[in-house]
Amino acid sequence: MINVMVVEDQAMPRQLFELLIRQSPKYNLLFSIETAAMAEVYCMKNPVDLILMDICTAMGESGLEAAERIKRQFPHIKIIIVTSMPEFSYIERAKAAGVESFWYKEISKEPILDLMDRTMAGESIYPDRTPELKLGRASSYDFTARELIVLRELTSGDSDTEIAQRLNMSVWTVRSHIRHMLGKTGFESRTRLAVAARESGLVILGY
Amino acid sequence: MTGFPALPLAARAVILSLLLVVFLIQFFCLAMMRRPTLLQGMLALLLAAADLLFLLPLLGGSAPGATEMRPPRAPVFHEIYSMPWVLLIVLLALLTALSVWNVVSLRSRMRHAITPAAIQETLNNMPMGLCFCLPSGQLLLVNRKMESLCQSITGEGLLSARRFWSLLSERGSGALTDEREWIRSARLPDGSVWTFTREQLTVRGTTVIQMVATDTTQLHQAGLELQERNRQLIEMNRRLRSHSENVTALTRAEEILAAKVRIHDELGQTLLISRAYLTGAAAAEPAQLLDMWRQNVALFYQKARPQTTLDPVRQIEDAARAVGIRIVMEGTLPRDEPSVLRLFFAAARECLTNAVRHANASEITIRFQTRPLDYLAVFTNNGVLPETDAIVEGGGLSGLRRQVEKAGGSMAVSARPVFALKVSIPKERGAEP
Repeated sequence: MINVMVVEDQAMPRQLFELLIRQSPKYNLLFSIETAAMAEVYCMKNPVDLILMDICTAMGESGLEAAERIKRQFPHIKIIIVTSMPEFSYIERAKAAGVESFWYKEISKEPILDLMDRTMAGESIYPDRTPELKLGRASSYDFTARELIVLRELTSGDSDTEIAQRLNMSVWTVRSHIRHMLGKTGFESRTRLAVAARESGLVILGY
Repeated sequence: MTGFPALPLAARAVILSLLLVVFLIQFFCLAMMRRPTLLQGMLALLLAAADLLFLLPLLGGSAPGATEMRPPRAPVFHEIYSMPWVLLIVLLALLTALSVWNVVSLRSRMRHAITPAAIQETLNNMPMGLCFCLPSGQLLLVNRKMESLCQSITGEGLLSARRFWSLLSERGSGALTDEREWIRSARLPDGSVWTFTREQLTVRGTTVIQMVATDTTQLHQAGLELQERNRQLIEMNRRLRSHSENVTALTRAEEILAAKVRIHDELGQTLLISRAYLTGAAAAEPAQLLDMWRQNVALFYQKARPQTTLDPVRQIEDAARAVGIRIVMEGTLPRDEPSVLRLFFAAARECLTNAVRHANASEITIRFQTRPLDYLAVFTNNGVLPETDAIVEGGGLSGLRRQVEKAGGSMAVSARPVFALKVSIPKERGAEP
């Protein structure tokens, strides 16, 4: 029996996972929690084999950060990141942390049970790329990695100086990136750019 | 050879009067001239002297009524006296011409000269206020504008520059503060803003204080507008930040709706297939149908369970229970401060990990306190004490310290008398105590 822990704050998908796991003879639901805050504690002293981990969990806790910590302490536990947010950095961060598989709730065609089976069998399944989003005139694929990093910070509402300090860039560089993005998207103001970016889910600050 | 005496009386009278007039003109020029150029001064002197040179001997030798011409005594006078009269006329003409020219150029110079009156008039017509005074405050020169400014601001005339300057900073009708000693601003009753500067000059060895007042109403207005724009910018940034948070909640709600729609669709499909099967309209696998129904019913069953609102205390307690540790909590968690909660969660994680791995504890006590300036959490356990008095902070603790200090808080770990972890997070400025 494969012991599974579900970390998902939204009732619908969580209940769906619980249902699927309960109905499957292969899997045993060990824990089902809503926030990633204490996820790694559960892994101590309990034989968790597989975790279905959401990224934007309750209380603003990041499932990705929890996954990074768990992979460091319990490398044998397999993790499948489960998210609906198309944030551009999630896939590469998950890969960097050593997370086995990655599943988009809405978009991935494969049913979650099949993915769990394949992952437990040793496969590592990731989508090719983060989904393409439209931002003004531009596609999310038109932005460079540095621009996206600046775009994420832009949604915080902080000043350019504060952003530059946080990212270890010069203020001029930050402003130049923003200017390029405004040009690509055709938005007239940075506020509009930030709002559109956040609403599309391309960048999510805090998780 | 005919000389001056040979001329008829009328001619002699004309020449003499002409000479006299020229002399008088040059005399007056000399008297009235203020700061003539060297050339003009010397020319006037020379002409006057030359004039006299001609006048005296000719006068002396031609007193009316004298029938007998007495020749002058000095040799040079004698020369002039006995000069041929043609030559005399020519020299006189030259003399007259030169003196006329001198007078004209002098007059034009005088017309263009800068007199004190000219200075006063110019200054009075200037749009800015000017005031020159001595260090003692005694006034040297005040222009009309400055006088009127003083009247508007202080309600009295400008008598002492010193008093005016000190009144400028006191007067309630809108003295705008500036830390620099040499500049002050004031708002007039009519709404305009004037800026006064004070400067020390040295003029020909004397120290003079110069006070200049300029109309800075537009500048002041622009400054106020800029301030307002900045305030709006800060407000907009704040709204942007909360927008970010709202989007998360909104996205969640949208997803829940989408899931509900899917379930509704699935149920609809299940119903259709069942009906078709039951009425014999279509064939279907009974086992499959049963499965579909089972899933749908299970979903409804789950939906019927009441949703528990997320309680941070429960989260910690449930996790502790899962690893066999009892949590004793005192005080209340600051539920409304998500960033503080996150840090306290991180601390709780560390303590639970430590309690399980090193201390083998069965109970953890957490004391929460909301103090006037900060939020405090103290974690202790009932397990084995650490080996050494000084704690070496491993990866987890140092990571926690980094996070806590980044938020402006402080962390303290002690090993005696019991293992204790203290985390303090400062309240945001402007928060209620």
